[in-house]
Amino acid sequence: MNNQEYDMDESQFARIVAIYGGEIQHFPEEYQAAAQQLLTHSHTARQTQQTALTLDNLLNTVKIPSPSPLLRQRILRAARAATAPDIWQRLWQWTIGSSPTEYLWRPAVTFLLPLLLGLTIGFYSVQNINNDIHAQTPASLNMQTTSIEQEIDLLGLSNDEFSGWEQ
Amino acid sequence: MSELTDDVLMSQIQQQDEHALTLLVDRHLTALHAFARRMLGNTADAEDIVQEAFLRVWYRAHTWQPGQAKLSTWLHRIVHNLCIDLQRHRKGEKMNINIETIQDELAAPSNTPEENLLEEQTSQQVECALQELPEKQRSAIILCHYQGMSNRQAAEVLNVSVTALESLMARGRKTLRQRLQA
Repeated sequence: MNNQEYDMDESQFARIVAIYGGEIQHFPEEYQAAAQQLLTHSHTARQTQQTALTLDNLLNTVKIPSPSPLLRQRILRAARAATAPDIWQRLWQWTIGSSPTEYLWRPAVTFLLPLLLGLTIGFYSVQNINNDIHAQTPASLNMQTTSIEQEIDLLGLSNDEFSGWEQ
Repeated sequence: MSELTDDVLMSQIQQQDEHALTLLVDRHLTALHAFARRMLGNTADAEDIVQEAFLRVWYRAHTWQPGQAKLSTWLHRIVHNLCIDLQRHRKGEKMNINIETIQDELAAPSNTPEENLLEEQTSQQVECALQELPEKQRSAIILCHYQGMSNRQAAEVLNVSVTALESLMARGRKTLRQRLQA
């Protein structure tokens, strides 16, 4: 038989069977049609397939039971019991996303916001201090001095009190 | 109602949506359990591994990146790595394959007792032969033959090239054939 008229020859078929076994559905998709076509014409290919199917059938005798319904419940219970991430973890997840490059603007905004807030507070604080200094006129300074003297009098620490002791 | 895709479910799980996790578990539990059970040859260990895998998905959902790989591939990779870790941790210990448990699990009530016995014996021999294969050969055969993965998906799970995967498969099948014929 001349294999050249098919997309796959017997040696290629044997190589694929040695890897994937005799079940065509386990072959890579791109080989399945050509293998099927070869099998309809080649007795050698069919023999190769039968030999491989012996091992496939043996492998298929190993059956796995379905997981118990308790396993599903166990998994879901364990997930519920798991501690939900706290506010900082959530903020970090939101900021970074699934990778550092996912949302470039989020880390930038997050780190710039406190800086802007600090600059704003600083600017207004300096402005208020300047306003206070300019607001202190000579008249207001005299008033302050008078009120301090009055407080000393009230405490009984005026100069008259001390003058008696000196005599 | 149209079925939610794995990517949609994962984005909901990233928001800690428990209902999405339930749907994901229902969708993938059977396949992952079978994979772990075949990798380890032991139901109790397989159940622990699958539980741990889903918890990792729950904790680390934010590391999932849609479009990079199929979710089932990612889940298989998690289970695979957990199985390998467990086996390496127990290196030196004999694999805990409980023949009686396997017999109970595999009992096929439709056959005659003689047929059941023969099938159980064959199944045990095959399972033991699989367990004796080198780690990567066993993983490759389980992923492609039992889990029905394409060669590219299986290679991705094992973190090898498709050519390397094919080499593992061919050597694994050859060894199995020799052991089971002997």
